[in-house]
Amino acid sequence: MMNEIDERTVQQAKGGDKQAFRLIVLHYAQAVNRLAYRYTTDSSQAEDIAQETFIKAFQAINRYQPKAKFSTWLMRITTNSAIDHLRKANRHLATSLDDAEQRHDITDHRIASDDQLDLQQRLQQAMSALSDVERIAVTMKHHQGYSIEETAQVLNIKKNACKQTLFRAVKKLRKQLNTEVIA
Amino acid sequence: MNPIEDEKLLMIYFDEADKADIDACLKSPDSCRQLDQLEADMTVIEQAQDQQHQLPEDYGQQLWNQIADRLPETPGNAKSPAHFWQRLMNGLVQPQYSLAGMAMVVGLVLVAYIAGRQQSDLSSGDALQQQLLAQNIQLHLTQSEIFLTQVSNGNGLANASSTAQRLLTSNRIFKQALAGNDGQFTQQLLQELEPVLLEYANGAPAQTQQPEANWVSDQNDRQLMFRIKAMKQQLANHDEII
Repeated sequence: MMNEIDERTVQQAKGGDKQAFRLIVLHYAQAVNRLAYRYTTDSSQAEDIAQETFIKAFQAINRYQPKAKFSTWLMRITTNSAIDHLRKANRHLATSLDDAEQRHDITDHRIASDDQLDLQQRLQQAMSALSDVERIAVTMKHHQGYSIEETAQVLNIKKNACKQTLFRAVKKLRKQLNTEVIA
Repeated sequence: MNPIEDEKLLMIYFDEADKADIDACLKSPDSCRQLDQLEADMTVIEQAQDQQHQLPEDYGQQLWNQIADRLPETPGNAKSPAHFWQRLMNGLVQPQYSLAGMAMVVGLVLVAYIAGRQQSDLSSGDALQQQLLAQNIQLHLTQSEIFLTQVSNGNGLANASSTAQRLLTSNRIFKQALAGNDGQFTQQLLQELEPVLLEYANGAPAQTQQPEANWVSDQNDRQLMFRIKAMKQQLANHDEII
């Protein structure tokens, strides 16, 4: 559960108080960067997304309604920025599902054979080895708590395809835990 | 378990399964164990991801330093249709912008066109003509008020002469348009406004000296300013020239 910044600071930022907005940046910067990293598994891209997120947030802060948590609103901007960023990076999110599957099956084999890596490293590699679509699906659903329908909409795929993507991604990650997934 | 059941198990974990699948899972001890294992695995994955990406403690300040200069002056500067219309409306009341001048010309053309047709369609044409004239005079008075306030405060002096000339031309056209009308109060107001605009139009070069008609400091002209505001209000509320 994320600590929320006080409503007064948000209201001051809405009024154009940049020092109040600075407090918002200090409060949420780590969470925004971490979420961006989950989507990209790339520190440099996560940094770009975090900067973009806060600039967009400042531009749109007048549209924030206090009926939602500020962190929820901010993380939504982060998610949208990350997905835009991946799209701009010319990664074909919705059309490369089959290609991604084939490509990452090969990568999975490489990871599985690398026994000297510890669990965390193996999981990190497995996360990086997921296709963008798989990583977005897992992050949106598992970490952010979006519904499958919302996730499918963002990825521009059908609900069943989204379920399949999630299943495939979780299977790949659990493989690194040596859990018996399929009998 | 076969893969299909694994997929159902994942949907149960994600709280996206049908009630029948949930019931079936709960009835089977094996399925419950698998669900527990899945939950444990997902927790490990979640925690591992959190530890993967360490950031310095002062990361927030570093990020602020990166973006502080790139933030717009005020929030809400994102481009959107609402902002476009807001800018357009702001543009219309700024006397120094040609957009306002263009809008006024369009309005005048409409007035002239309708005035030319008044003989054939007198009843409805008269009302429409009055409304259009009232709206255009209101716009003219708004622009004049902004202009005079700006020059009185020492702002906008660079283009004062050309803006005053444009406003003066408009003022005279509206006076002529009102000549055949009952709007004696409006006509009187435009009559009094004309010498003030004339003085700025013929005034000394900007930034060296303000014309003597620094009228906001003068008691009589403060009354004129008040009458401009009152007339604008009247035209805005009733679209009726008095």
